[in-house]
Amino acid sequence: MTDTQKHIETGFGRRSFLLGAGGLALGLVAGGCSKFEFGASGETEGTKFGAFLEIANDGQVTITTPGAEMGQGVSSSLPKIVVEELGADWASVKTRLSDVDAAFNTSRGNQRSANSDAVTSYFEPLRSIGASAREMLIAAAAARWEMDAAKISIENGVISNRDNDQTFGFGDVAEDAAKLPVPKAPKLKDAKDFSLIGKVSQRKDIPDKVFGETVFGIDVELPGMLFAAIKHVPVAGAPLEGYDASSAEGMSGVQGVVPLDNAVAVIAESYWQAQQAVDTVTFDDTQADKVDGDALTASFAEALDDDENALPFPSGGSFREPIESAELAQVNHALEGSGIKIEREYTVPYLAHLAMEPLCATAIVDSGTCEVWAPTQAGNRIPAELAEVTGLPESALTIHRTFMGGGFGRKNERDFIMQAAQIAMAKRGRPIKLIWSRQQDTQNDFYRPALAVRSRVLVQSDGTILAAHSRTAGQILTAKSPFHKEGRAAPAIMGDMFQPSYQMGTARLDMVEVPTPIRTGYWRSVARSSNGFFAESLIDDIARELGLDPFEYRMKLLGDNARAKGVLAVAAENAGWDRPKAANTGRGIAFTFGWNSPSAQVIEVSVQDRQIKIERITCAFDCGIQVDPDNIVAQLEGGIVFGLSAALYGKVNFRDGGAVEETFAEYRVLGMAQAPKIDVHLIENNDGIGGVGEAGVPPVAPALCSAIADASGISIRTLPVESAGFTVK
Amino acid sequence: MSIRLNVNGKPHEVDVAQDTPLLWAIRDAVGLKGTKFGCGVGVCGACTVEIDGVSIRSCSMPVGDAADMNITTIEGLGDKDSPHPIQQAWIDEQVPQCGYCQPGMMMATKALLSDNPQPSENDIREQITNICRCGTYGRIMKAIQRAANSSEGENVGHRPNSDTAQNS
Repeated sequence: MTDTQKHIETGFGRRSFLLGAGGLALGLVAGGCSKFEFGASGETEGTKFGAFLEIANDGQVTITTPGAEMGQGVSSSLPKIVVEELGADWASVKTRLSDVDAAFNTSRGNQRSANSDAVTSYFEPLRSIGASAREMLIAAAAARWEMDAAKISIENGVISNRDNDQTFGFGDVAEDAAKLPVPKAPKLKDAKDFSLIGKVSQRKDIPDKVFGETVFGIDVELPGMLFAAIKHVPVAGAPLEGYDASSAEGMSGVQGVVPLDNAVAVIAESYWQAQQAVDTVTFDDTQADKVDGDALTASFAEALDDDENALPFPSGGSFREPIESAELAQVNHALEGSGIKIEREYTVPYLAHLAMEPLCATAIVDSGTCEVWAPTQAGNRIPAELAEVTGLPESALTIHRTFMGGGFGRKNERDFIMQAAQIAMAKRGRPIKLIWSRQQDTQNDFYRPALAVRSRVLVQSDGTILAAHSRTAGQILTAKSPFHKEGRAAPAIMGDMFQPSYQMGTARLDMVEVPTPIRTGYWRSVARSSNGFFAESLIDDIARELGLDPFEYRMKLLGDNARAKGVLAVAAENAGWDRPKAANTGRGIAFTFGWNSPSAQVIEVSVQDRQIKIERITCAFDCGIQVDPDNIVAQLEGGIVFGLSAALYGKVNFRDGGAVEETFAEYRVLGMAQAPKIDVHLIENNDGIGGVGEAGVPPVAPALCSAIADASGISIRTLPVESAGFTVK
Repeated sequence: MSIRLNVNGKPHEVDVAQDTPLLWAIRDAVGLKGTKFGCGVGVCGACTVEIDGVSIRSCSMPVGDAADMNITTIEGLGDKDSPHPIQQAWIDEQVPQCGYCQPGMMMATKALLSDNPQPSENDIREQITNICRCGTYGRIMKAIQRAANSSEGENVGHRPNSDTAQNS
């Protein structure tokens, strides 16, 4: 129990929860093994132990979510999976966030919230934990009642039996249960017997959020805490060279100036004092190259002609069984065959994240330890980097993960956490909270990269694709993916550039890399955020050129893929695809398939004098088992709004080496005034389980542009829509 | 120099410069963290509080200008034992995702409903100008309409009296 106890005691602030004497705790045993192993508190003496599930002697069930909560709902959805098998009373279950702890790693060794994989990664292990605890509680009750365990059942937190009318609460037998061996292969429920999964539950985190009580990263407060504000060198990729902080040093409340790799931080008694002081810091004119957005766009366009440096990428199949691209000569030859040749170019801009909570982190470093509190999507990536920054062993680090005010991929980067530690090293023993201003957050992002694409296809008049080649030009992500193979284009750029669901003939994807000093990173839905637009706009352009119905054409391309056709058909039907349209009104449709979840959207717009009004959006979605249907709907609604902001307005311009946009004033996002009506239709399907959080984003831009083309005859192939001279009503 | 602030019905003496934004005085000097920093330029509305019945973006108001005025923050709206109808509507519609912008949204709603207890959809679209990056606008719309309907005949925008006000 000792390690569990310690883990709990170091939990964060008012969220800490102490076990009473005894009780039952169940978790996963860390060890980098390829599959999960279960252990109970009593069995894992001396082993690093992360308690997913704790049942105290008073019966209180507390579940620690392995995922980081950024709004996607994992602080409820993951605990709900445990409770389904355990049979606890969901309403009285408490949930808690996990610290960075390898005990919470997935079977792939990750603890992080990204790639929409929280539910899919943890579904089976969390069910097993719940089922193991259930069997242990039943065995303990069976011993007390001296009866066959088969006669005992658990429902809504009550242990009862068929022979007498006695019942136990969990607390009555928790301590006995903790002494029993942990079942290694507990019996799981049949999906048809689920009583919580598939039903709508209220999210556990919502009341605190509504009463202003949730502790986000920016709300961390510690005794004796100082504050820091930061100013980065305003040139992308430039390290800190000369700077002048002499004005800052004398300002009210200032406690120190800390030079960092590419920035200067000021420590003060209050955040506002630190921010005012750091605003006065000036930088020597840097020797680094100053990037210019227009020049970059031109270089991407040029790179599209660079056959020699084009790296191929699989044109379809799956990650495990990729279909390799045809050779360039082969696809060029195929494209010269008889049929209709169509060539189109598309471009997307750099995008920023602008989570509502600006980047921030709190750290305290003394001679032998470092403790950090951060709103972070990352987990297992943090300790090694923090150890390097602080010069401390990983065993000396404690990393708490707070609620996040949005993340969208930006908070999977660790730069702000490392900065907080570096700043805290200048005031050892004092906790320091670093808060980035909104301007710093917008201008020092890890941006979704800008890309240019040229697609060439040879089609028959019925739309059959005989040959297809798409080439992407632009930069790859700053952090190279572990799946990036030598001699191949980057998967985080090229993934699903062609819909693997569509039937195509001779096909090739390739990419010409154009390095830039701009930092790039994950942005909600990653490659699919761009490739949904490129791939589906191409399909739309083919349909338009051939006079085919965009819905019928996609149904044809999907062949016998019933699951994919299902969502497309449901979206079309509910949107009234075949209904007559009012004057100046258009409908567009798009389909993407990622995270094992097909997603289709129909967008209806009216366009008059280049003014767009989005009338409504109809979404159909199939993620298999639905842990919480209402939260899935919420994620899709949110993904659609996020995608819509980007498609309509999103663009970061680079001039004189840095980003031009500073706040929401220049980097516009959708507001209440423009938010459209969104109808989400979930497909019932208990076969398999897919990701949700990002799946609402990719179809938005192509469906929107398709609708605008339908209404106005103008095809937008360069995002954002606003840059094509349209305004939004 | 000490400035007297009246927050959620309770007096506070804060020792900050007059030009400190009210937001940071509320968060760091008074110690109420429910009011959020989003942009610092009065655009996003995460820092919205109510001052003498008017919705104010506290990041853009010097604390000196708020001296002796009646400031209501999310902590003063209601609590778990007696939620304000707006907060109850936010729970019933399951509005928040990350939840960071929601205190500001609810405070903006309070000001809207105190002026206009039965706002039309268009009124809401025009007057709620706060930003939510999670995209909860559809649910915010429903929650505002629910809050307005839940309290027909009473003024949802009423100021809490001092014995129900929360403070820390």
